[in-house]
Amino acid sequence: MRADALKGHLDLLLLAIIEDGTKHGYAVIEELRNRTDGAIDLPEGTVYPALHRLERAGLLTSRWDEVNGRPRRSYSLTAGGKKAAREKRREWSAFALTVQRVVGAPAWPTMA
Amino acid sequence: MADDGLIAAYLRELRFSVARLADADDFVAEAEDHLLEVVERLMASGHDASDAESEAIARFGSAALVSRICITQAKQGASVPTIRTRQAGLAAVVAPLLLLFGQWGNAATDRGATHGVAVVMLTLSFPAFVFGLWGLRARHGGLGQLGRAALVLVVIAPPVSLIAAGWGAPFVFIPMVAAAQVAFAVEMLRASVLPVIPLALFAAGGVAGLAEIGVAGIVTAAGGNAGHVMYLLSIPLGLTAAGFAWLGWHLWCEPAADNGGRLRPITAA
Repeated sequence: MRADALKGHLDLLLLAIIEDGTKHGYAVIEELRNRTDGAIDLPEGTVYPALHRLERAGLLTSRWDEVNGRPRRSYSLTAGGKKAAREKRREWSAFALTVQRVVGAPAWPTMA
Repeated sequence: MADDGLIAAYLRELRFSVARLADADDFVAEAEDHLLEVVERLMASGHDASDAESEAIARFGSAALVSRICITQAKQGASVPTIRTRQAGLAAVVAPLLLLFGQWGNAATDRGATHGVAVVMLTLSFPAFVFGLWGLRARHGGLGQLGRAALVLVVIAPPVSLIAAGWGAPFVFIPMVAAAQVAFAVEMLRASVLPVIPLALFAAGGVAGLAEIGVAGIVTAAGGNAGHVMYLLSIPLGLTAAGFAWLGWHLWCEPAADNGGRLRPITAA
C-alpha cells in the first residue's frame, strides 16, 4: 500500500493497535504488519515520530523500563486517546461507507 | 549503546540528523532498542550478525528519511481539539469584532461611558488575538520553533513598538505582527490540519500589511505623506479578520477530545 494512501489514517491505526494494551514501538510496528498481512509495511523508524506526536498531543502516555539490559519505551492510551480513537473510528466508518456508496454503484450504462 | 558495527554507525548518523529535536536523546535510545531487538530476532531465525544488522537498518529507514519525518511531525499536532482550543477559537472570532466596534466607538464618540467601553473593547482585542493565535498553535501541536518565535513576536510587539518608536509605534507594530502572521500561516499550511482558504486569507492579510508598510516607507522616504497609504490599512485588516475569524470558528465548532480541560493518563494494563 502506498505511503500517501495512509496519510491522515496513521493516527487511527496506531491508536487502534495500542488500544489493546501497552506496547513498545517494535510491537506496534509488528502488530500493524501482522494485522494487515504485510499490506502496510512502513519504514519502521517513521512510526516513532508519529507516536511521539500523539504523546505530545496527550493521546498517549509512555514509560521507560529496562528490558534485556536496555531502556525500552512503552506506550499506552490516555483517556483522551481512547476518546480520540472512538471518534476517529467513527469518522473512518462514515467515510468508508460514503465511498462505498459511490464506488459500489453500478457502472453508467453505455450504448451497445 | 553498541560501540562498533553497522548499528553503532547508523545511530551516530541518526543522532547527528535529529540533534536539533528536543527529545533527540530519547529518540536515539528508542531506535537503538528497536534495531537491537530486530537483530536479535533475525539472528534467532538463522541470520548472521552482519546480515541481521544490515537488514534491521534497511527496515528502519535511512537516517535522512527518519530525521525528515521527525522534523515534519514535530511541527504537526495530532489534529485533536481540546476545550482550551475551542475557547481560543471563540476568542479568535471575537477579536476582530472587538477591534471593529472598539475602533468605531473610539472614533465616533468623545469621552463618556460609550467611549470608555470602546476603549476597553479595543484594548481587549489584542489579548483575544494572542489567545486565538495560541489556540491555533496548540491545535497544531506547536508549529515548531518558527511557530513559537512568531507567537513571541506578537506578544512583544506592543511594548517594543512603543519603546522603539513612540508615536510612530504603528510602523513598528504592524510589520512585527504581519511577519508573525505570515510565519504562522506558512507553518499551518504546511501542517495541513485546518482548511486552506481561511489560512490563505490570514496569510494574505499579513503579506498585505507588510506591503503597505513597505509602500508607506517608500512614500515617506520620497517626501510624501504616508498617512494617505495607511488609509488602505483596512485591506490587510479585513483579510486578517476574515481569515482569523474563520479559523476561530473552525476551532470553536470542533468537539473537544479532553474532559475537564486536562488529558488524564491512565495506568498501563
